[in-house]
Amino acid sequence: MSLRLENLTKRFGQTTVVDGVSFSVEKGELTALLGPSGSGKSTLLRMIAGLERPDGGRLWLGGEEITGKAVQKRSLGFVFQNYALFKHLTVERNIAFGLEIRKVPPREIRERVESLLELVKLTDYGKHYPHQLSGGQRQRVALARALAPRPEVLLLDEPFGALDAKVRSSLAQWLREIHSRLGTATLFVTHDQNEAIEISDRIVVINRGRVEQIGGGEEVYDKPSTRFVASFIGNVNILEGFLDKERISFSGVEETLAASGRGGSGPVVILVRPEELSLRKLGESGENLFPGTVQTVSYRGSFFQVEVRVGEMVLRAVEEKRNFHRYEWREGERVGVSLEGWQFFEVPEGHEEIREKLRQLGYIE
Amino acid sequence: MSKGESPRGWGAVLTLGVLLWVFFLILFPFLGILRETAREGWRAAFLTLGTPEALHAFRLTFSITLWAVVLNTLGGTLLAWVLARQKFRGRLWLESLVDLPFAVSPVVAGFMFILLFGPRGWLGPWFESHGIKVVYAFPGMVLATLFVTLPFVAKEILPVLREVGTDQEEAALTLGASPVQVFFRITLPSIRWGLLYGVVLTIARSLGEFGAVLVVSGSIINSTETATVYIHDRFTDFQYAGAFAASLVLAAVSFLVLFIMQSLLKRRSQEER
Repeated sequence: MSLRLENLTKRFGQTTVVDGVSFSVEKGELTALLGPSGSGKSTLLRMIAGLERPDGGRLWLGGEEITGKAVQKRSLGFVFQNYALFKHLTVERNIAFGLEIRKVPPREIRERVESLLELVKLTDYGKHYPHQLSGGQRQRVALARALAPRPEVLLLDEPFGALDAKVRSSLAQWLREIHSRLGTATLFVTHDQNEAIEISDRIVVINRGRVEQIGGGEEVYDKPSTRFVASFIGNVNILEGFLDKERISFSGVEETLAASGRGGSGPVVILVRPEELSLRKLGESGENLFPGTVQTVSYRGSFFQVEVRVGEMVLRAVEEKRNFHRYEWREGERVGVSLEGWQFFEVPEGHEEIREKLRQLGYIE
Repeated sequence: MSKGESPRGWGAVLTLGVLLWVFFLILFPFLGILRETAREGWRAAFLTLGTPEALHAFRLTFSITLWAVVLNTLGGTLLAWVLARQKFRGRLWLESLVDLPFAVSPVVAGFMFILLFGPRGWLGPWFESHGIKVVYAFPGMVLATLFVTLPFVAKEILPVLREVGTDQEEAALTLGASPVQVFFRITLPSIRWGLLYGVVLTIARSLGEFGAVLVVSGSIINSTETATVYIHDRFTDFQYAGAFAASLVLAAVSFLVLFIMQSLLKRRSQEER
C-alpha cells in the first residue's frame, strides 16, 4: 500500500514548521527524508504517524484518507529515534506488545516473536531487558517491535543517529536488506546525506519545512535543483560571480569561466564539488584554469584536502593520496586550479545578502 | 570511601557525633516508651489494649487510613498525570498548590474544615439538612486526613512521570494500544515504585495524624476517638498504661512501614537504571 502526503502543513504558534509538503512513498520503496536539524522532517514523520495533528493538508494510505484517524488505528510501524523500548518488559514482550494488543493467539505470538528475533539476529536475547542491550541491539529490537503487527508502512526517525559510525553503516545496509525482503513502503528521516544516498531508492530533500527536491541519490547529488540541495548534499565550494553573456567573472580574478549557451547577464552562484577541482603545475594551459596560492594542506586519511586562494575566494580541493604525492603541494606554492565541472544558479530576486555582496564588489548596481 | 573501610580522624569524630545525635533523637525516645510500658507492667498495659475504647480507636484509625489511601492514590495519580501530561494555564500554580498541605499546620487545616462544614459554616447547614454529619464525624476526619496526605502520592509520581517522558507511551499508541491500554500497560508499570512509595508514606502519615483529626473529631470516646487522639486523651487523664501500650502499637506499625519503605527504595534503585 502506498502512502501519500498532500500539502501537509504544521504550525507551532507563529512559525510554520512544515509548509505544504506533498510526495508519496510506494510499496516496496525505501525513501529518505533528508534535511538539516530543524527542517521539520521529524514533525512531518510524526504527523504521518498521527502523533501530531496537521494544520492543513491530507494524508492517504492506499485509497483511504487517514488525516484525522487516531494513531492506534493507522497500521503504521514507527521506530523512534531513542528507540522508546518498554523498559519494564523483556525483549520478547516488547516485540509481542502490538500482537497482544490485537489479541493474537499466544501460540501465534510466540512463533512470530521467534521469527522476528531471528530476523534481527537476537535469538538469544528474548529474555533480556532493554537496559542489558547495546545501542545497536536496542535499535534492532525497536525495529522488530514495529514490524511485528505487519504494518503497511514503516516510519523511522533518525534510526541510526545515536550509534557510532561503524555500527551505523552496517545497520543501514542491514535495514536495506530487511526492507527489500519485506517490501513495505518505508520512510526514514535522516540528516546524514551519506546514509540517505547509500541506502535509499529516493530522497526527499527538505529545508525550512518545504520540499527542495525529490529524486534518486545520483540525481540529487549530480543535478541539484536548488542551491540548498547542492550545498547540503556533499561538500561544495560556493562561488559568487557575475554572468555576462558567455563568460562568468569573479572578484579579483583575471580569468573568466566559459558559460556556454546560457546568455543573459546578472549575478550567479556557482557550485563546485571538491572532487571537480584539480590542481595543476603553474604554467600549464587549458580552459577554466585559475591561478592560485595553496593556503593549507591537511591529511584526511584516504585523501588530502588542499585549500587554494584564488582572488578573493578560497576553494577546497580533494586530492587522492597517489595524485598528491606526485606533486607534493606545499603551503604558499603557486598552482593552477582547474574547474572540471560545476553547476550554476542565477541569483533570484530576494536573495538580498548575495546581491548586497555583489553590489559591494561592484558587479551590479 | 570504599565499603568496609573505617573512617579515621575527623571523619571518625563526625560520624560518632551523627550516630549519637540520631540515637538521642530517634531511637532513645522509642526506648523510653518501652521502659515506661514495662514500669506500668506489661500485663496491665496490654489489657488496656483489649478495652472497647482502645479497639474502637484503632479500628477507626485503620478505616480512616484505608479511605485516605484509596482516595489519595486515585486522586494523586490523576493529579500527577494531569500535571505531567496536560498543558494548561495555571499548571505551575496548581503544582505549587499541591505543596500547601506541607506548609499549613494540620491544626489550621482541621480548623478550616470546621469553618466550612461546621453547624454555622459555609456548607455545614446544607449537609445537615440532608442528614449528613461531616465534622465531629467520620467523613470530616477522612477529609482532614485527605488534606494532610494529598501531596504524598502526587509528589512521588510527578518527577517519575516527567522523567519517563512520553516516548514509550507514544510507541505503545503506534503499536495499536488505546489510551486506556497505554496507561495500564505502560504508564502505570513505569511509575509503580514511586506510586507504592507514595502509598506507604500516605499510610504512615494517616496512621500518625493527630492535629487535623483532633480538631474535626471533637474526640468523642467510642465514636470519633482515633488511636493518636486516644493516646493523647489517656495521657492527659493520667492513664499511662493505656497511653504507652497504644503508643507501642503505633510505633511498631511505624517500624514495619519503615522496613517496607527501605525495601521499596532498594527495589526502585535496582530497577531504575
